[in-house]
Amino acid sequence: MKPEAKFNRSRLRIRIMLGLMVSIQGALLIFLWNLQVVEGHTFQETIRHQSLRRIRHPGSRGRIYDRNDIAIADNRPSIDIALYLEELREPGPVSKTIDSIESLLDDVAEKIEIPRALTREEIEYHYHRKRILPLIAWKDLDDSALARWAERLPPRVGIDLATEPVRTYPYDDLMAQTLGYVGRGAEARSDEDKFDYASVQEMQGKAGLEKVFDEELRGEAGGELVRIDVSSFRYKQEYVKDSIPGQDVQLTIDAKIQRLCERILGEETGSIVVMNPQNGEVLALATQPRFDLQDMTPFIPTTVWNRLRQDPRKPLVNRPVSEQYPPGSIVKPMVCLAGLLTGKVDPDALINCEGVYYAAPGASPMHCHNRFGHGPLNMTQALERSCNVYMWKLAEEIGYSPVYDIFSAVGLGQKTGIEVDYEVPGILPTDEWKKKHYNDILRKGDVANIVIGQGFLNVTPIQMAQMVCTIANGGTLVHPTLLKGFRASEEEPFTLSEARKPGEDLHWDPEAVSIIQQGMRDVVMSPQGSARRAQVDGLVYAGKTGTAQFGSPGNRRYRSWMIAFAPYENPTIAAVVLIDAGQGSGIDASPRMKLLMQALFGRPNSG
Amino acid sequence: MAKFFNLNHSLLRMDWLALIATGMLLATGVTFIFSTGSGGENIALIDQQWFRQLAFIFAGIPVYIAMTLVDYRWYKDIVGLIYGACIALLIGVLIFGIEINNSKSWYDLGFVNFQPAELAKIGLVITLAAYLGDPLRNTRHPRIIIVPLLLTGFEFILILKQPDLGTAMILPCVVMTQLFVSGLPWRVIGFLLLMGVMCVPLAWKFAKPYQKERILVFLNPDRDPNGASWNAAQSKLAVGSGGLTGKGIGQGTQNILGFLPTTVAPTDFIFSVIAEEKGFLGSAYLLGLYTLLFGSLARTALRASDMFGRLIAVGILTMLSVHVSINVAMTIGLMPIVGLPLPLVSYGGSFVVSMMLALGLVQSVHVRRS
Repeated sequence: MKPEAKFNRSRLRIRIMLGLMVSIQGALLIFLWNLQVVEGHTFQETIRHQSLRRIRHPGSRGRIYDRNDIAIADNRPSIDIALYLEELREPGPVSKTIDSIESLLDDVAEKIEIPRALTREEIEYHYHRKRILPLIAWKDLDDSALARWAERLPPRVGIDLATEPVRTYPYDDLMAQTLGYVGRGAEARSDEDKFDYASVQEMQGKAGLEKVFDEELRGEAGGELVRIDVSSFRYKQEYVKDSIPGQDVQLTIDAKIQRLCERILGEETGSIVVMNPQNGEVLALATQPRFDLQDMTPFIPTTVWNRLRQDPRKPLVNRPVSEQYPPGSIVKPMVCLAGLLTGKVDPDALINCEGVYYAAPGASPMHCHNRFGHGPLNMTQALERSCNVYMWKLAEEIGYSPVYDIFSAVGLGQKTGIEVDYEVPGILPTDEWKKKHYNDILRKGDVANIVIGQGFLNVTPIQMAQMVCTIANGGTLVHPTLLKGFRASEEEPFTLSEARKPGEDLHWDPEAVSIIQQGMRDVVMSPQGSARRAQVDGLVYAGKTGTAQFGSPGNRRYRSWMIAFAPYENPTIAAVVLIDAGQGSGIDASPRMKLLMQALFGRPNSG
Repeated sequence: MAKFFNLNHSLLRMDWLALIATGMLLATGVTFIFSTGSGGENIALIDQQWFRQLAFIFAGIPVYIAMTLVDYRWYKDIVGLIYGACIALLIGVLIFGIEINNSKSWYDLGFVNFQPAELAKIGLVITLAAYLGDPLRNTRHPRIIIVPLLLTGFEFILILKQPDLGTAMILPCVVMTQLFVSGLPWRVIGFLLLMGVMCVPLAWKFAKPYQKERILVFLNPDRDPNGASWNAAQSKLAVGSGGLTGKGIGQGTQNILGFLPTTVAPTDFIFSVIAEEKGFLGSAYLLGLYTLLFGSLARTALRASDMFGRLIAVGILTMLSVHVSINVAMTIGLMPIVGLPLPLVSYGGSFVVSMMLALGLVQSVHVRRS
């Protein structure tokens, strides 16, 4: 075909195409006529009723239980008055809407007789940023306010009661720093997804285990989209999304032992850790001072927060894991064990304590706490009386390296990995460490200090508990843990956490360990033992005390430690007591250890 | 090379009908973008959507005039360059583009985001018109379809990759009408349509989950796990409640009370705003203006002095008409939601400028009519 003819033929096809396009427009118009004019009134009717309310069903947060199923973090309902700003919108400028909300609030405040807490700025902020979320105007109404609400206020659009779960800690300050608290979570920003508001967390772990296990504990909120009429009557449910409750967490903590430890500490600043030496489960992680968790929820008032922050006794600090101290004599059993494991040291050989020691020729003298000297001592006697000179001479014999190795093997200088935030690793000094901080290598005097638990060596109470466990079980390094397991609902049993790390066998010579254990038994059980005051009727157990001094000579203060495991045969308990800023070891830590052991193992009083 | 400017064809020979329809559509758009009022009272004028739209329209006017003045026949000489530039822009956006709503469809030019697919559509119209409009080519032989389908397919895949299904769907419609007008036999047309239908299951397989969701929601409005039918339902409600005469500009309750989400009301759902506030009369007025514009574009196609110009007009007409039909159909619940704006009316800077560019191109054909 000639191009001319082709050009002309295409005119017809253009007309066909245009015809098709115009008919599509025509068809759309007919449909629109039907939709807008014929059926228009039904849509207008629907729209008149179009007050859609988004109701939030928060996913309840999991509870935290102790090992005996006592809930130590729980939820309770709070009944609030909520404003639904979308329903309160007025045509015209935003200020008109805010005005009418303000007058509504004033009216309600008068009727329920509780002053209004929301400011105009807060309403405006909520209106612009979080309109789809209910604005809570009054929280936690008591019965009389609820009665006044029901009696005096007819139902109206845009305002209604709403229930919200609130975290509660039934035992107030029990394990406060470890348990932690919750606060309001991040908020949804977009208003495009009609269920975006469901992603808001009204409870998010802000500290402690609440924060560490937040992912497991948190529920997923659901919601409901309902059509309501002018009297707030819900006549149609448009959509519902179920909320998903969070998992419950079970801890290894025994709330009774925890409370006991906290009572034993009393008003004294310090820590008590109780562990099961066989599996690393932490039964108590106590510290003093504490704070009341009930003050921290549902939000922390500024006054409370400032008081806690400014308190010189640092109540927010979780001392057993977040503070490090020189351990004093409680590391001496490890030094002796290091000596035994080298094979160079005979435990029965007598070493003479003259009461004074020179780390190097011409160095300043270092003293034993018995200025006149303990005389000749074997290893168990040296432990029993906590002789410094014996340790110094032993260290001179074997060198620092075996001591470092065994300290490192039981976890000093490293975080234990317990499921708590802000754990500190302590300090296990090396040449590199000293180079970095003092531009020098470790000198003999430094080592002499380290082997009696002074100087640069720093440990946390939880590390000491881990160390005691290792001695008690004969050389298996267990990892301290607070987590027993999770469960998805109350009907199910708790499933044991798979995250738990098995203990590591350190391959210690059983004979060597047993010598150390005996030495520690004599510390408590022998008439000359430095912790003989901690004896408990009917219980044979082992321990070691320690003191580290600090402060200026005029105001010398002591940190007093005692470690113990009990019973001596087949130990089930390893414990650490630390009293910070006390007045000497025999006075502060050991009577508290005695109270603990008495409560755990003592014969019940016949009366 | 054809003369760049040919002053024999002055602006006075423009298609005044198309110009008037275009101007009225643009004005309607600005009015109702103002009505959606999403700017609020505390927002600077420069950030108000209606003002930005107006600014882009004024920026589009010189583009429109320039496109009219430039002789369209010149594009035939540089068609390789045009197609190459389109492909380069489309590949570039996949690498350098910014992501908005999970689509990597935009270049960030600082003052405005620019969507290269808008230009690529127009580029394809010119490219196909040049190929099919060549008088020496036998456009009645089925073999003719191979090159146009390849040219289209390449752009189609690149746009789908962003992903921007709505814009991509325009391309097959453009190539079909251009092939149809060039005289492709009916049986081949039928065959192509059949192939298209058979591609549907294949497309389903490659569709993104949210795209599938929108289609499933369309087929079954009660299915609503993520609220995918929310916009659709609210839009239909807005249109339906408009009645015969509507509620008045700025009075649409769906619109001011925000049941229509504020981000889509002035863009993809501007038609619902108009239909709610001006009722059936408003809808009819708007569709009437479009039909007028379609008629005038078809007239340009009929009067064009050569096949190249004719096919350009046909291509632009198809592009416009598919946009309008799909957008209106989806806002009243006749089609699943695909993100296609209403040409000349919806809010969107680069879209309104590229539409004015396309219409200027057709004016260039019109002033050089035989």
